[in-house]
Amino acid sequence: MGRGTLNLIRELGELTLLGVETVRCIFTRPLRWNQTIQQFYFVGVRSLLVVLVTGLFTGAVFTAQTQFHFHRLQMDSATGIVATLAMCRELGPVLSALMIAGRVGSSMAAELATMKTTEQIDALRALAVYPIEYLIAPRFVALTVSMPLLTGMAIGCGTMAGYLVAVPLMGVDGTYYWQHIADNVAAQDIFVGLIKALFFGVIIATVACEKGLLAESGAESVGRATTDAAVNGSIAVLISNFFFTLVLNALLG
Amino acid sequence: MPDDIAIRYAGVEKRLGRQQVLRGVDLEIRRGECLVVIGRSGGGKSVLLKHLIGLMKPDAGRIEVDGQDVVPLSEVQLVPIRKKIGIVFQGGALFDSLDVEANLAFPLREEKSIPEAEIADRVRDALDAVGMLGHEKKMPGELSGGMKKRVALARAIIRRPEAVLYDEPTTGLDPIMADSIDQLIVRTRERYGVTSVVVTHDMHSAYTIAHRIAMLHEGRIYTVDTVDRIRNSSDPVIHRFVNGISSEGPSP
Repeated sequence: MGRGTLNLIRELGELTLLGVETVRCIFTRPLRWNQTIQQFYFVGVRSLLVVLVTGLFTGAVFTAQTQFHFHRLQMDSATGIVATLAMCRELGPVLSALMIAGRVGSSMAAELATMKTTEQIDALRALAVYPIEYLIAPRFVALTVSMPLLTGMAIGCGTMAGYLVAVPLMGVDGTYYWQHIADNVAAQDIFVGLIKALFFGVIIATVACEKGLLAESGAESVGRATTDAAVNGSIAVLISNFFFTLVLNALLG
Repeated sequence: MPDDIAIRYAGVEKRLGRQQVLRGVDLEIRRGECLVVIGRSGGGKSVLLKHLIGLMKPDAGRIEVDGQDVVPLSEVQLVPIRKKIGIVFQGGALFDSLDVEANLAFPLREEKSIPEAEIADRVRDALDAVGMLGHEKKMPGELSGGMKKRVALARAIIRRPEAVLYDEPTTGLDPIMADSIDQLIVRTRERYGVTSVVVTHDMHSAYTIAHRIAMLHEGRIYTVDTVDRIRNSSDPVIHRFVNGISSEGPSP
């Protein structure tokens, strides 16, 4: 077996251990509300603009591109359905997660790695505070809860943008556009997107925290932890998304 | 000096990566004394301190605090031990996100039972003890290296521990600031009667504060002796180290 494979297995092991320990901590110890609210502000509120812009322009461009081709095939009425379904099930959750992995995952890893190299995490333990409870659980909860909320808003923005592009800009009939969406897009399509978002939140938080906590000493390792958190988090989102799609389609249709 | 043993290392071994850092450390630290551990940089001195409060676990050996072996203890079981022992990390390890006052109050607030008024009093006392009154609202980033160490010392003693560990307290400080930290270590020991374990390679500092000096050499305690006997030792290993003579230099 190659070294890369061994590293991958070890990495997955570390992630699983950290994830399990964090979940155990959330259910067995009191949540640090001050820290959690701070993280909600950082993860949720401060990411709002980025995620809304992502949703807006993804919805707009996807609708425009679909309408160009469907118009030639005289399938204008299907544009809204395709765009909205794509937004709910794939583009909304995945692109929001990629933005959050870049914005939040990387900075979480950088902060934790800096704390690790400056012995602040050892200091916490020396002062008899459990770092998972004080640092990791609040980040994990904030990211896991914020992700579906942000994704919901991205989906809403994308759908609105799709309407604005298709109807006023490209001349699709407005009444039919909405009617077709209402007839063909169900609550469970949105639900699939939100469930995915929840798991993406778990993945991004776990990868970022693991990269931060396992950083070795030195400025270089902080940089590496930061990059790894963003890149590995994004890759994990993209790969897991494929399997979520298969599983959720089988379960929910 | 009372002779009862507060801390005991017995056959402690630790490997980090490919390097065997500790190769069987045996060391006894008496209650109320100031023991200085000297040794080369990267020789495992900090590792020795971190083992004492369970931040690292040895591969073999026993580490006793007041007769209790701390090696098998879990994070939760270590809490009472950690409350008994304060540690001053090399860079201070103050929490970046909290100001000086909040850094000091942190260990007290964690107790959950101390009223805020008492916390404020104890923070003021601790800052006074290290000469940092008036800096309560500063963030760690605004403090010089010496000031950080003072605040870190105040944080380490605020829970009134029985022992304080110092990891390279004077490294990176100018001689005047280093001396003031040395005086602070002595005063802290006298004022609170704490057992002090100081890890350093600064011999000036070691001579100033130590009751006894232990030399860590090639993963073992090479010798433990009084300041005078270490200073005047004719043993080549000790002589070279305390006088700062590299192996390229002339023989004693």
